[in-house]
Amino acid sequence: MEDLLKPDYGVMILTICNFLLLVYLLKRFAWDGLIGALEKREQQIADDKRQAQQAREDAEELKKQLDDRLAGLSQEAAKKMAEAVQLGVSQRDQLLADAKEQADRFLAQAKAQIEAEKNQALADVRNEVVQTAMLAAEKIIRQQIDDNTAQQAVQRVLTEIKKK
Amino acid sequence: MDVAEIIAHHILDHNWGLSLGGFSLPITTHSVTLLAVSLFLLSTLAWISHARTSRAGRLLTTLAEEYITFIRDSLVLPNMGTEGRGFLPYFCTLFLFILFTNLAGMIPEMKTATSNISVTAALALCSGGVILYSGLRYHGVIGFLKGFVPSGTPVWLVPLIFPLEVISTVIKVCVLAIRLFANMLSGHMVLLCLLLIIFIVGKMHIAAGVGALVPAMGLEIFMTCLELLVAFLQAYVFTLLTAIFAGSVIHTH
Amino acid sequence: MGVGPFSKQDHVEITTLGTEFAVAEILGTGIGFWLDNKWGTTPWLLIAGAVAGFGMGLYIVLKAAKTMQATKKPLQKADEKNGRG
Repeated sequence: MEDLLKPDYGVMILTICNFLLLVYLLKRFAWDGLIGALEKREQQIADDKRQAQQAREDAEELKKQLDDRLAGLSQEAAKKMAEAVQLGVSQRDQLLADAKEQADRFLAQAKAQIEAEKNQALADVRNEVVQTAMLAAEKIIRQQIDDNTAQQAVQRVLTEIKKK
Repeated sequence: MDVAEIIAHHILDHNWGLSLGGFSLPITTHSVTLLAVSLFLLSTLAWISHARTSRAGRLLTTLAEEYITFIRDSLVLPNMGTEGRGFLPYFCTLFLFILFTNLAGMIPEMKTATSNISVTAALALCSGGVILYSGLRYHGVIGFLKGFVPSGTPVWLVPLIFPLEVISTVIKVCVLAIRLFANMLSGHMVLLCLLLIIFIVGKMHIAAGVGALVPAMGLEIFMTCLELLVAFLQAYVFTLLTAIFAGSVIHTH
Repeated sequence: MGVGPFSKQDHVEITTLGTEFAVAEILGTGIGFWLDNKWGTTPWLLIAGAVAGFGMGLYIVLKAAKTMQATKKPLQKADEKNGRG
């Protein structure tokens, strides 16, 4: 059993030679090809990944630009809208003012017309009254004249006659 | 029945006794197993790396690439940094070699060569060589030696710290060998002892032996599953520790 | 896959420390034993080697603890919780 820990130099040297030769031959015939293919593929994958990343970044840049433009557009639209509202409000005010003015004018005209008509009517009434009064007066006068005048005339004549 | 002799017979290496011109060749069960594993790995992986045409070949190629990615991303790169890229073939080979050598014991007529201290010492020496090479390559001789002394050490402590650090690095490499060796050896010993329980108990009385058969075989199956796990784990640990040590030599503080 | 706050790699490093300590001790004692046999100074160099190996193992463990303290986040967190560090 003590042979267990006794080194066998022949086996040791043979193992070293065997192993190093194996490393060399495997490197020459297997690993170089496999590692080369592997790294080539990994390189390709990394390139693809980078390209995809680049494309994504580009797309994001584009999206950002579009978003900016869209935001600008919507802002502008909001501004236009506000302006339109402003315009509408001012036009409404103008219209209201115009309408009020017109209404006032109409009112004033109507009032003036009414006044005029009233005055006319008053004048008419006054004329009528005057005429009626004159008619009445005339009638009364005529009546009085008919009675008094004739009497007076008679009287006068009588007096004249008497005097004579 | 000499239990120790039986265990030794199953665990120990056997020289085939070939010699060339009076010089005894190290053709032993373990070294032949190692050669077989090497040939298997070489032929299989060489075939896999060129087998993109068939469906099964593509599957195996994907598997191999997945394996390389695992070694690279979870062992080499986190511990050694980008400098470890050049060592990737070494680590890929190391893991598979240890794993298949560990598993070879499961196949009849083959032995677990990693339960031989010479084999694990040889592997640890290779890893030590890689650690040395990576240190020398990235720091030069003087920078490599300087790397042993942690920065901020007072000058009068340097003669004390330097040998301590050198010895601790040597010990770390020794630990690689002993850890793998002890794990694989103990697993096989336990398996053997569990088997021997049946015969030892059976020698007392044949009925007792039959009675011991069932629990012993149950434990045997359990230990075999554990051995499978340990085979993977130790291959992983060996590779990981090599990567950590090489990384600590490259990235000295 | 790690258990508790440690990763798989932390587990490997921590469990390796025990083996390193043991190997340092065994190595020191072994060298002492070998030198004793060579120079015929039986038990003294063995004892010295054992002590040196123990010191070496202690040095390795302490240094590893210091490095882990500085680099491993779970350990720092655990220390904060225990009111140390």
